[in-house]
Amino acid sequence: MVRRKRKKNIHFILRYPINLIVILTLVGLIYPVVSKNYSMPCANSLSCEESLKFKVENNAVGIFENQKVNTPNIDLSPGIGNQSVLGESNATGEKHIYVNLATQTLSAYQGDTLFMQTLISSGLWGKTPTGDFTIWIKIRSTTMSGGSGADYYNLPNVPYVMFFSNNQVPASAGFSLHGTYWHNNFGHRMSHGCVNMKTTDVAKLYEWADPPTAGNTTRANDTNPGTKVTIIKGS
Amino acid sequence: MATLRRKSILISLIILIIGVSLVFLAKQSYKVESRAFSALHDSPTPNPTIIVSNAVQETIMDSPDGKMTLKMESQQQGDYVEYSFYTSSKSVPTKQYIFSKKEIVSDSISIPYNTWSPNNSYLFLKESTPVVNDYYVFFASGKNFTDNSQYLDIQELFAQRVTGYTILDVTGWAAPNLLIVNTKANQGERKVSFWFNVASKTFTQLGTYFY
Repeated sequence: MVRRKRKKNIHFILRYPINLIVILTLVGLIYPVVSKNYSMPCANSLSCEESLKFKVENNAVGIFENQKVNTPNIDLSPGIGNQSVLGESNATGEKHIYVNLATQTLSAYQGDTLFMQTLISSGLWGKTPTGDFTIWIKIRSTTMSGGSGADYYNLPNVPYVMFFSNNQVPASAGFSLHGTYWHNNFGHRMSHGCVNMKTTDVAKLYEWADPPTAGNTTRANDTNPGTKVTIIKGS
Repeated sequence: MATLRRKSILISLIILIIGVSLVFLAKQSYKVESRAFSALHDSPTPNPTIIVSNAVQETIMDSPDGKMTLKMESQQQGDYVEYSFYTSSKSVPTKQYIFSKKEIVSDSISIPYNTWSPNNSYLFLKESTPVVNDYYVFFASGKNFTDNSQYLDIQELFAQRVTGYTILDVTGWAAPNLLIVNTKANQGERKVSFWFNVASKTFTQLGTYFY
């Protein structure tokens, strides 16, 4: 009886190959969705890969909200980022960055010592992901572009970029904390997913956060892991 | 035979519907909100606390790139407070006079957190009274506008050019010459953002609410 039923099932598929085609097509559609490697939208839709590399374009002109933006030149000599902050040298413990999307606030701690608290701008046209992340690379300057129509933007020389990721938000999605020269509306959502910061704030955070800065591109590894970043919806 | 054929078509249809639903649900979790109307209250813009006494109080706000500084000096004189504003650059610390005003103690002037335009060309101040808040845009260099006015009065210009809305707050700069003005419709609860273009002195209603 069982053998006859199994024969029937195989016969059912082979006799009607359309069933096999439908099943294979759906597997092809569903698998990327449920697999860990499903690619969520890039933070910068047009410069998805390009933004992950160090780049400086001095004397360039950017575009944001259909407005031309004069791009600040990048000075690669050690600057304000190296200024020591009161209390930093005495602090011990693990470094951790917290972002509260409801209050649009970033707080950075080392152990129980507050290093920095400041207003940020998270995603308005794209969602800033929530969860626990780790900084995987720090890049001194890069170009970011994306959006379309009235939302199109092309921004050279985005300074002090710290890309973060986790199992759900891969490194390739390009979400980061970074400096901002094209708007000044901190405390309110303004970005396409990244966490925008005042350049003076992020310069200090960049030098403070792990992995310790080494050159224009600094990758985290097992010996020098990146600082944890926790982003919450908040209330 | 016919029953088997019908059965196979039915099963194929069910699998197809389940699969498409799964894909649709998964995409929903990554849906990008391109137009956001929010019922959330705006995050309060932190204002520096002003303790008014006979001594001159100073409040400072640096530009986001750290190159310019706006300083407010306030001094209480009886029932009034005298406010004065100056800008200076880090490279040349000489004070540039911008504006001064005497206010009764029930009113105040403050430096908004996002006072500086992204290219440091402009700044805006907030005047708070028990009745209404007003916002004034200045050249950071201290020069006058083309009509020789020292500043642009946002409430006044808004009342002249836009009907049907009331300003809730001016929060900051969307671009070097675009100020974000959040408003509420006079009829109903709808919230709408405008851009105020400092160069053309015009308001543009936006499809996205900047919350």
